[in-house]
Amino acid sequence: MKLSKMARVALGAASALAIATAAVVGVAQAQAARGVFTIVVDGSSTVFPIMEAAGSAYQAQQGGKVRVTVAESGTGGGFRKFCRGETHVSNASRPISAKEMTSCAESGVRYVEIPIAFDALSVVVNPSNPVQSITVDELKKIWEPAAQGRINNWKQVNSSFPDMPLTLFGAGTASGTFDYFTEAVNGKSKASRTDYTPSEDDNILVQGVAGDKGAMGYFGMSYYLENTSRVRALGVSNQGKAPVLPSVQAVEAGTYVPLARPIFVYVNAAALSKKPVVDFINYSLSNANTLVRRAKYVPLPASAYQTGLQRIAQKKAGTAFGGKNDVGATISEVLARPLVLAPVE
Amino acid sequence: MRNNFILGGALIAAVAAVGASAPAHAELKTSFKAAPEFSDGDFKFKIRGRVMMDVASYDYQFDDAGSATDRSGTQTNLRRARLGVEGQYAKQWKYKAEVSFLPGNTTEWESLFLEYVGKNYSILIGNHKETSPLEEATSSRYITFMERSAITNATDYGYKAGIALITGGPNWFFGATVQGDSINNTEATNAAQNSDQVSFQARGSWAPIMNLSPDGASILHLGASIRHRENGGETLAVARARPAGMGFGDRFISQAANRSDVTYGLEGLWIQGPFSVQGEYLMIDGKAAAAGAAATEASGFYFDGIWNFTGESRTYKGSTGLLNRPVPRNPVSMGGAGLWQVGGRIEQFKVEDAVANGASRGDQEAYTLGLHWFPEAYIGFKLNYAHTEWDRTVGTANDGQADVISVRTQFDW
Repeated sequence: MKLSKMARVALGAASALAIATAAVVGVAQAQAARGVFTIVVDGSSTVFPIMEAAGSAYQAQQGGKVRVTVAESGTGGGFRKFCRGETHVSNASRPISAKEMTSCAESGVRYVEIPIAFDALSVVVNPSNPVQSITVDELKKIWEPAAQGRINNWKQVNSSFPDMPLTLFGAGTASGTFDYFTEAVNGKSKASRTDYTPSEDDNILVQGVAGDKGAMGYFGMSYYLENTSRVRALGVSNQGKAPVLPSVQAVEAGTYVPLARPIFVYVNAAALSKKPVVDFINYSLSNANTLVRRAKYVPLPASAYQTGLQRIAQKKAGTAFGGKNDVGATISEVLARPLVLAPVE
Repeated sequence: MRNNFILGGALIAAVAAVGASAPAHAELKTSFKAAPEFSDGDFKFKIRGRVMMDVASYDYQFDDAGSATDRSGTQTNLRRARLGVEGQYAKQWKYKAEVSFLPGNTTEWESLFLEYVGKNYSILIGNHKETSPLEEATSSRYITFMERSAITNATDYGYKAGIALITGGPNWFFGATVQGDSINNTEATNAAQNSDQVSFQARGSWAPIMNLSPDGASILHLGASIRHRENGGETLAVARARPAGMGFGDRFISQAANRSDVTYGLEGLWIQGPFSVQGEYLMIDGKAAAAGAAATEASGFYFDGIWNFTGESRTYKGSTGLLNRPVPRNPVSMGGAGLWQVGGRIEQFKVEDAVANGASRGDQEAYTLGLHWFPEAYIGFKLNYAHTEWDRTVGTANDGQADVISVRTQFDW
């Protein structure tokens, strides 16, 4: 087809018009989007109640000028989005892993690590179950990969336990709770039997245990404290010591080991050039004691929140864990460590 | 070529069969990134491919109407159709095999390599182009405009058989390669000297600024490359280029064949929020193949600027020093408008060996405008307008200009 000069001019003009129209639409769209700054938070379902409350309160305080969206894709799912630069804040019920550190580094995402609270994982049973406590070794016997298809009766775990079918409910594999529990109990993160009912939604786990006499489940302490009429926690005995029930007092005293852990928020360091992000995190840390208690977790010492505020002010990027998940580390140990952005061998 | 098709099909079928049998594994996971990916932690397998279909209206006008006939037309063109697989046998061994289906029912291998993944390095053996300069090494799925710049195409980097050492960190890359010719070339022993061409090449890049947040990226990328080629018993590909925006047809500026040459390259990229600028300068310093002929030189640059007016930043991977997939913040499938992008490019390609057979020497300048829409991360539409002018060294015969309007539909998996 031979194009006449006029046709070429027309086509050129049409192209220019399309580009100009699209540009105008784009500017309008961009301006509309700029009206309300949205802070995007995602990650751990365990940390969700704290940051969801913080987001709602901060949003209300700002009178609609800032929007905070808080989702719960699980710690692993949250870090995937965070390391792609899709979220400002990633909630995490375990420290960032070596693989996630590398992923963030490769896309240019630097982060400020802030411990926000202590959580205790609760091992729960149906209230009608006569078992009152369990050892960490017995938990391993139930949950290790080798138990798959083999351990399915309480009697097999301990001869003093009732002869009753054992039904299991636990965290989904994208959850930081899963990573932490498997490392604390089975000795290796993500090593678990898989013939159980998994869910990132702890309410589903509560429902499952409440509805089955022989059920056992594990999840964050806040969900247990909210559901003490439906499920009962087992005392956990570690290395021959007396069983300890999950409670605020036990976590503060450092006796509920190895199932007490710090939980975190990770803030995109580049996003700290945005005032709403800084203000929101400062608000969360300044009100952490109240927010954490309301969510049924254990607040950190005041000095820990001060350290968090300093890290935000100084945009101090890095993690104190070097890509490893330290089971049983105390908050003072964690805060005293140097921060690194590359995994530690 | 026909054999390649059969071989390619057989390989894909064989590896697909392995993938299909994999669900028997207890911990097999399936994820979906436009195509299913099977993984059990050590073993991974994924089918990959891409399709790019173009419609181009072109109008070539020659200054000396007596020496050539002006030409114009509208043509449909299957620019790329590839199907392949990638995966890993264990954490240390990866592979990629991809066949290109070309117009005329022929096929060619593109990527076809085995990769050993060490602690901080990789070794690639096979047909690859992993150490090419910025625009050439960037996947055709992620390049800015429909066609790469003239100088990038002229340098004849691209898929060739060889061995490469690649290393890098979060914000730097270094790769060095020894390569022969393309694995698609037929080989023969019926002449006294039939060795493959050989090239030694290296590329390094560094991103001194590299920050990403939901509010945008801030990235500064700098890089350099060098390549030395010897023709062996073959003829080195000459540096030549079509008018901008054309994926087929005549090339009006062309260098003489070299016996050996050295190519130097400098590259830069700056991304700031939804804006980005990118440029490269490449120079080929050659020794003419013909005995007694003068040295040849070809050089050129391109410089482009892009605005994603829906707000997204271009994506970049520091460990490869390359642009990555355009990802809409609000894809159409989620009720959004997708990623919209406008951009422009200026470029020059110059061949300066004004010797015998110099009729095709000279230079060409081109200007390209583009409007691009990515409704989803794996789907794109591009509208490009390009104006090219070429000016030959010997007389004005065949000097001319081209206007090309082209539209591309592309999708991959």
